[in-house]
Amino acid sequence: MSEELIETIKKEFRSNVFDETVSNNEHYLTVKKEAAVRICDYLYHTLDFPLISIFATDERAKDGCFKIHYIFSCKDDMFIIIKIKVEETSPRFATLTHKIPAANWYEREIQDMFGLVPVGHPDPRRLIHFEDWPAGFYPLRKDFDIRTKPPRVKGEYIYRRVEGEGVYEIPVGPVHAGVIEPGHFRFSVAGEPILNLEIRHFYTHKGVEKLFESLSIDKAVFLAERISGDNSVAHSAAFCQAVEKVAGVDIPPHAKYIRTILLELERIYNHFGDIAGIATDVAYPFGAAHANRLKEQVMQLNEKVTGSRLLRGMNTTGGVRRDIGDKNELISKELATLQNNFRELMELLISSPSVADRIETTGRISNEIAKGLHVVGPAGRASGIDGDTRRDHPYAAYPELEFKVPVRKAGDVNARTLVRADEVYESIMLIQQALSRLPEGDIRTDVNQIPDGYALGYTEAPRGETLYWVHISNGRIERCKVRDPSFCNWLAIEYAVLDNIVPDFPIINKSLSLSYSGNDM
Amino acid sequence: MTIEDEREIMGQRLHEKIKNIFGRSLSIREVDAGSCNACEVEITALSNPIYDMERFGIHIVASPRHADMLLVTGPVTRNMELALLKTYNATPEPKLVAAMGSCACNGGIFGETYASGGGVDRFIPVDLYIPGCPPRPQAVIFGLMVAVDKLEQKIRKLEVKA
Amino acid sequence: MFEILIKTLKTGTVTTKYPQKPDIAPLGFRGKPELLPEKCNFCGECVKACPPGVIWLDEEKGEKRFTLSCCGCIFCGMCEEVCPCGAIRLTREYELGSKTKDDLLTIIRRRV
Repeated sequence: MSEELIETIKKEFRSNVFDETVSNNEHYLTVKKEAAVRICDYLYHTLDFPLISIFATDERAKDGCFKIHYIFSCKDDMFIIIKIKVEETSPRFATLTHKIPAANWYEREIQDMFGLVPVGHPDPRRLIHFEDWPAGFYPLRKDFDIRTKPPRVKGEYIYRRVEGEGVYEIPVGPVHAGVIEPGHFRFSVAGEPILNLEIRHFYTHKGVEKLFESLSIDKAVFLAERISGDNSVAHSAAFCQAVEKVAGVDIPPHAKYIRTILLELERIYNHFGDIAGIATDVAYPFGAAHANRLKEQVMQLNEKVTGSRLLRGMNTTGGVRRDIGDKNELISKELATLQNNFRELMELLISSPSVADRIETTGRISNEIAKGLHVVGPAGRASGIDGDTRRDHPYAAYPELEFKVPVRKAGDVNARTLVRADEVYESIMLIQQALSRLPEGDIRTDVNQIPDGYALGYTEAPRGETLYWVHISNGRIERCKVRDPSFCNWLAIEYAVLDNIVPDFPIINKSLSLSYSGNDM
Repeated sequence: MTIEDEREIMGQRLHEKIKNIFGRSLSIREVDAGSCNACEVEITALSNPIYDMERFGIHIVASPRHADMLLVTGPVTRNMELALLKTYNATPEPKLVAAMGSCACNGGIFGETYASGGGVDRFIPVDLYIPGCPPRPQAVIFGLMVAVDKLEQKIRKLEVKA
Repeated sequence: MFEILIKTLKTGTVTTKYPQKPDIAPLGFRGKPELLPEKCNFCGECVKACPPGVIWLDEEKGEKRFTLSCCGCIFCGMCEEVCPCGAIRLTREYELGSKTKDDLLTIIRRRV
């Protein structure tokens, strides 16, 4: 199947494809710069493969140019990566955003971090750097030192303006009223209904991708854990899997099962937290208190099992650092009580008319928009996108376990809440299956002497598909591209809030469960 | 005396402190200056029914203008620097600043980069450090007890000046 | 309404007694690193392994100094893992709130 597919693409574009390399399930096609948009358009629209990331690399030292990679997720657990070369003397490439809206932020990110300009981009403003960042400083270029502190310059950020009688703007953030991360929201409203929302993020940009390049692989695992605090396991597992793929190491089955259990525990506490947040925002404190209590119980269980409430310090390249085999009984007992409690809570939550009134039809994301922006995770599945990395690109112990992927069509807050609730039951079942089949054996293998190479690592985090592309050269990280699920999902919020009222914004925001830190990095 | 007894006595002492000093309540404004969200998860946990910090009279308030204390997380990113300073200036005196989590203490794993500042005390004076990555909710409660001592000192100092 | 009442009564009180009653972290918790001076041989393995770089070695007035700061420590336990002589151990102590950074330092001194 995969060979046929590559042949079809090569036949279609003949002379435009220079080079083809295959490693594991990743097919790299180096193509002519001018043909990139046409080929990507073909993959996206004709073959119906979603675009999951675009990133650049600085390979001037080796090949004398920058390279841009477009990653497509295909059927049969395969990825196609289209590569183009961009010369330093002509740092431009044609934009893809007109054809694939999901490309919007990636291209602006490349512009800010590498100084490569997407020609014809509908919104060429800066994304990551603020107006006080001077021109000519591109952090991810190899000749930029990580500790450089560029001077602050004067500049102005121009927001989209909505004008008309009775239209006014509400600026919110970056320091919010609640305990949430920093970000700026600019609402244009006429009375209560929202006419337009513009989000402005990257307040928490810490230079993580650059930092990866200065850390050893062992230490980088801990950095991956701290990209999006409550998705620690998903991030570190994705990073470790990418490194293991480059090294050609298959981790022991025991470690695979432990990773799976940790990933699912993470999903459960995150989903409880999200449901608690939604209950708080619809002014149903009774439900919030109970959901928070359940979340706390899982976090205390995490601490007993791994020594960390957020499951940190467990993943490592080649496996996991601690065995949890002796905690088997504790976990299954705790999960059984949790399941009963959660069922009771959901019955109360769903039957409450005051909750239903606030969440039904609120914050709708249509299937078309979700698809166009590549919305992932529970938010995507609530809008009818049947995608789940655990099933589509299996990793860890998932190929051996049975689970369902809940999908709903309504795309409103209600659907997102219910998808999460269904996923909690699936996760509990997955952990129980994994515990009952826990194989014997080692928990880690040594990953020494990693050959030069690159690979993708991916997991389904509680927020959705998390992607790492790691390039290792001489035992050090040459480039590490991180794609958090929130980087895709943030764009959807601008559509979700339209025609909703301002007081419903917190609920919509919470129901999408977006990470600021994972997005900004 | 066993370790348990000692801890019991220490716990009771802390309780006395809460009763005496938290006769007035402590209002906290949380500022995320670039954290990874883990510290926020733990601060949110402090309001859940298990830790319920409102029982000590500790509230999270919506505006720095209502706050006695800023609870700052994160290494202070370049883009959050101005917002942090504005928040600090908006908080009325006497005020306390607590740096929560390793990044806030000295940059943690993010250290100092082109975009990360490497700790809160490089930008505003810090009265309390709460290490942990992230600190357990109990560790934050303990930290607040330590901070309350300092608040007392600060108020006294102001009184002397007047 | 009735269901809410039943659920509330069934749940009872869940609030912790901390800080009146101590709350001891479970076994395996990664808390404050403890140094065992008699075992340390100043090899510097932990310095190399520490991700945030809060362990350092220096020398002053003919005295070798080994310093570990909890301020910035991410409690990953790498130092414990790499130490060849078992001189670092992560304890279950987590009540580390402190008014100064100096209070968070642990130092071993040894005459050269």
